[in-house]
Amino acid sequence: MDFKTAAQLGSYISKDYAEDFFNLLVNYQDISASEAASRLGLHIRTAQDFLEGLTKLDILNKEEVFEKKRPYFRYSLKTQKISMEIDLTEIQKEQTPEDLNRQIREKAHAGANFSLARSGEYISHVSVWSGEGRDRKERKISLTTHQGLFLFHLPFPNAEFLSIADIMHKANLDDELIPEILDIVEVLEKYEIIESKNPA
Amino acid sequence: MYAIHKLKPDRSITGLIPAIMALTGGAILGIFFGATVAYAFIAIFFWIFAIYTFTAFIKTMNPGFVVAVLYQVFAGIVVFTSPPTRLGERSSATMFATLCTIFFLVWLIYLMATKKIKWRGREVLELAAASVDEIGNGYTGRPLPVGKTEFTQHQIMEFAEFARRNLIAVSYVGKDRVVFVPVMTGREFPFILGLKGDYIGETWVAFGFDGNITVNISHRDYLEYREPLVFDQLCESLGNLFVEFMEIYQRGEGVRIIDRMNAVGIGIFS
Repeated sequence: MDFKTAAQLGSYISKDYAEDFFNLLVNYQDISASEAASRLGLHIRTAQDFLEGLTKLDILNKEEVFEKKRPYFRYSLKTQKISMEIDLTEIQKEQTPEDLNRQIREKAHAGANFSLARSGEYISHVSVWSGEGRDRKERKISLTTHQGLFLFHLPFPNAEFLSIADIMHKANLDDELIPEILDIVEVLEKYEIIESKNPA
Repeated sequence: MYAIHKLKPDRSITGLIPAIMALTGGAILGIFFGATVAYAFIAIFFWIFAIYTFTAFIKTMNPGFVVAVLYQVFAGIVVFTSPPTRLGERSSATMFATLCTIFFLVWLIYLMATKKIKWRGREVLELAAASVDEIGNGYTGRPLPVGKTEFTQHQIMEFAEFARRNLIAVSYVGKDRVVFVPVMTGREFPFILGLKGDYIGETWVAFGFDGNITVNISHRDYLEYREPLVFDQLCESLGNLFVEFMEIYQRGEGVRIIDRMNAVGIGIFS
C-alpha cells in the first residue's frame, strides 16, 4: 500500500463512528447510505462519503439498485480483513551519483541567519524570513548535528563551488548520512539559501 | 612608509565621551551650585574612571593601565583640592599629588604614544585585509573553518594571555577552545565592564584544543572596510594571521607581533 492510500484509509478508520459502521457492514449482507445513516444517527451525506471513500479504496462493493424507478446504491464488504502495510523504503529519497557531485555554495544576500551551536563547531539552526511587511514571517529550521556540520563547511557566497561529496568529506560525515544531507540541501535550495552550479 | 589602509578612517568620538561628560556635568553643576561642587564632581569622575581603568588592568594584566589608574587617582585629588575657595589651604600633600599627577601624565602620554595601552582591533583587521585585493563581497554570518593546527592547549592558553596583555584580543576560554575577539579602540567598554557575556555578533578567531581553527567576521566590522573584499579570503587571512601570531609567539618573538601592529600606522586614538 502506498503512503497516500494508507493515509486515506487511516483517516476513515479513525472516525468516531468507523467501528459502528464496520459492525453494520460485517453483519449486513449489504446496506444503503440512508439505512446506515438512520441506524447510526449520522447525516446521510456523512454516511455516503464514508461508504464512497471505502469503495474507492476497494474495500466495499457498490451496486446500483432500483426502487420502482428511483436508483440508489447498496454497499457490501469486499473483504473480511483489512491490512495496512507501508513500505517506508518507497519514500526514501533515491540518490544518484549526480546528486553528490552537484556543486553548491551559500547564495549571496540570502538573508538567512545561521545560529551556531554552543560548542561553536556546527550550525544549530537556520532562520529564514519570507513575505513582506506585516506578513513577514520567520521560519526556523532546526538541524541535526550532521546537517549542522555540513552547513558549517558549506562554501561562502562568491567562494568556489564545492560538490556535496567534498563538503561531506570536509565535515567528516559518513556516507550513510547522505539522505539527511540531501534533504537539507533540497530545503535550503527551496528557500534560496543554497545555490547550485548545475541546478537540479 | 606610507600605508594604504583598507579600513575607513575612524571618526568615532566614543573615547572622548567620558571627558565630554565630565566637563559638561562639571559646567552645569558649576552654574547651579558653584565651583566647589563642580570640581568635586570632576574629581569623583576621575576616581570612578580610575576604578574602570583598574578593572581593565585586572582583565588584561596590561601594566600600562596601572599608570593610568595612578594618574586618574592623583588628578582626582588635585582637582578636588583645586577650587579657588580652597587655594589658600593647599598643603604639601596637595603639592605632592600635583607632582605625581604631572609625572604619571607624562608617563601616560608616553604609553599612549608608543601604543602600549592601545586596543589593536583595527590593526588586526588591517593586517587581515593586507593580503586580500580581490573585491567581491560574499558576506555571510556563518563562521569559516580555516584549517587545523598542532598547537597544544597550553600553547593556546599562553598566547591568549599574551594577546590579552597586549590588547590584541580579549579571550573567551571554553572547555574545548579559546576564542579571540580583537577589540577596536572605543569598543572596549562592554568587554571591560563585563557586559559582553559572549562573543556573538563580534569578529573572532577560535582555536579548538583539537586543532580546529574557526573564524568569524562580524557584519559591522566587514562594513568598516572601504571596499567589499572577498569574504572567504578575508576570513581565511584573519585565521592565518592568528596562526602566524601564535607561531611567532611560540618562537619567543612576541615583540615582533607588536612591531607588525605598529608598522600598520594606525593613529593612537583609532
